[in-house]
Amino acid sequence: MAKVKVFIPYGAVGLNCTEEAFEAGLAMQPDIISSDAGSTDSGPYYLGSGHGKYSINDVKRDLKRMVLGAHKLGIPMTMGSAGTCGSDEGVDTVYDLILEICKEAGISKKIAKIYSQQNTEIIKEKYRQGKIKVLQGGPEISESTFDECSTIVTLLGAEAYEEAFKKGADIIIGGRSTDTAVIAAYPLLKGCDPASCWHAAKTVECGGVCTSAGLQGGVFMEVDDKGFTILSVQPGSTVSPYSVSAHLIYENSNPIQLTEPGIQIDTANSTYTALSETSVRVEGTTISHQPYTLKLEGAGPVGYQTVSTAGIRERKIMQDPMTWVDAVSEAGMEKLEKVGISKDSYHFWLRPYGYNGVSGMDIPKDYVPNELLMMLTVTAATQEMATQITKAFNPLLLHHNIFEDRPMPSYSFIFSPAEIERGAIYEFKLYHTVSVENPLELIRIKYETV
Amino acid sequence: MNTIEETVKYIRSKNAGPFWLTIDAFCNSVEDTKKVSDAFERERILIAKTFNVNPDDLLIFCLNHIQVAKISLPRLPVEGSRNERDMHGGQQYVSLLDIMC
Repeated sequence: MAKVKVFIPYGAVGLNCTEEAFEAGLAMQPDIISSDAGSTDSGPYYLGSGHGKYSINDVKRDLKRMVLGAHKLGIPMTMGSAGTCGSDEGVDTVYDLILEICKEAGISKKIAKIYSQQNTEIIKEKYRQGKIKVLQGGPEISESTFDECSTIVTLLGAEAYEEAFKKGADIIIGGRSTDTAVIAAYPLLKGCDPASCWHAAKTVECGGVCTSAGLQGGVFMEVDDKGFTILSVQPGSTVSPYSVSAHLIYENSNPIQLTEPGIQIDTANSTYTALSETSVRVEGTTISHQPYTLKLEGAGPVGYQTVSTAGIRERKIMQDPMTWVDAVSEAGMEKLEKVGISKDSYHFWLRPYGYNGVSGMDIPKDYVPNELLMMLTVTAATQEMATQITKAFNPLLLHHNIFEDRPMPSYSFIFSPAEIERGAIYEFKLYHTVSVENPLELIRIKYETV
Repeated sequence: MNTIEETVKYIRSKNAGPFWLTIDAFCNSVEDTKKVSDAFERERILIAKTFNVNPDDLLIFCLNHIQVAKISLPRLPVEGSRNERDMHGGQQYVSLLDIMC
């Protein structure tokens, strides 16, 4: 009977787990250590720029424990969506860290690097061939949309990982992958029940979140040919049928069916049984096959941004903050128009935080704030332009008077200089799938022995 | 009748990818789960208007086995656009708290 035990130490590589959880996970004798590292949740900057979200020191600390832990037990490890967005830069950065770790420890490993960042011209050809389809809720696109993307990635399924295992890789670094593929691949390769491999991987992809220990507690899964068991890892922590089944709804628009490359998993008839306080058995998940597609993600720059703020306590303004916001907005645009900077050449918003900055909606009747933070954000074609426009607003943010009978007021600034340059900003541009001839068509795998 | 805020144990919202938002209302009983998901269904048009989406695009789930009423909907504006107010979608559930159920 096929049976594979997977230790998942982290919700994302770089987010850490406790020392006790890591040691306990190793003591449970896993066949592999796997963790995902990716997310689009923190916005388009990471994919657009190709850079990772977490501190490089944090990523190295987490990788080091994985590499040395796997080495100690003589087992492989996988990490998916390297560098948050899974760009080629993310894969190479993680490879360099693993190289350092191996050299420092004096150990030798075969490392597979799976790249899933895409060449724009190849993807445009796929578009021309009608092989790119929008997902529900995604944007309308044209061929030029692909040129507007600074980074395009496909989400790897399990096949690329399986291929790297077959070639004898000890350590697999994946570019952008589905959260589950990086964890499901090894049990799938070993012949465990496919529906259970995917369902189990979905349950553990945030690490200890599906246990009582939470994010830094780690988690363990055992998959066989009938189902899977989820086990808590952090000493003293528990899992329950509730904690295991409820995780399926997290950050997931459809809580019953999971779509992965080429397949759909249905959990409608899954059963969850507590075996003990620390283990839950799941069976009954089903799988159906679909035409093979890979999900595409793409993001590109939309300008440069500069930010400035003003704090206000003035009670007359607190009575009606939007009048001040509108007056400053109008005065700023008029001032810029006079120096030849038209409204069409930049984008800005001025929001009163503490009033309705978060919601943008109507405020409760009779609500009068005690103080507010007015935040101005300007986006323009260059950083220089965005800052010039923000500086034009500066005297208004500092002094703008809306009461005729009063002398010039001054408001509260926090910073000197008052402007914060945010660099290039990005937008997500793709929410699509691409159909491929075979799962590895758009994927590149490179092997290194260190 | 009570508000959703008074009825649920816990309610949260979060992005489900850059183009979708999902809201999970954790309830105290199967009966309350049905009440809340029925209220989501009844107020489908109001909710769609609040989030500026087409009512037909609202997916409503009544998950009795975990006592969760759930709504998923396209996310406008798209996550991280220049007009973003809530990058992770973490505060969007507040717009539903006063719905009667």
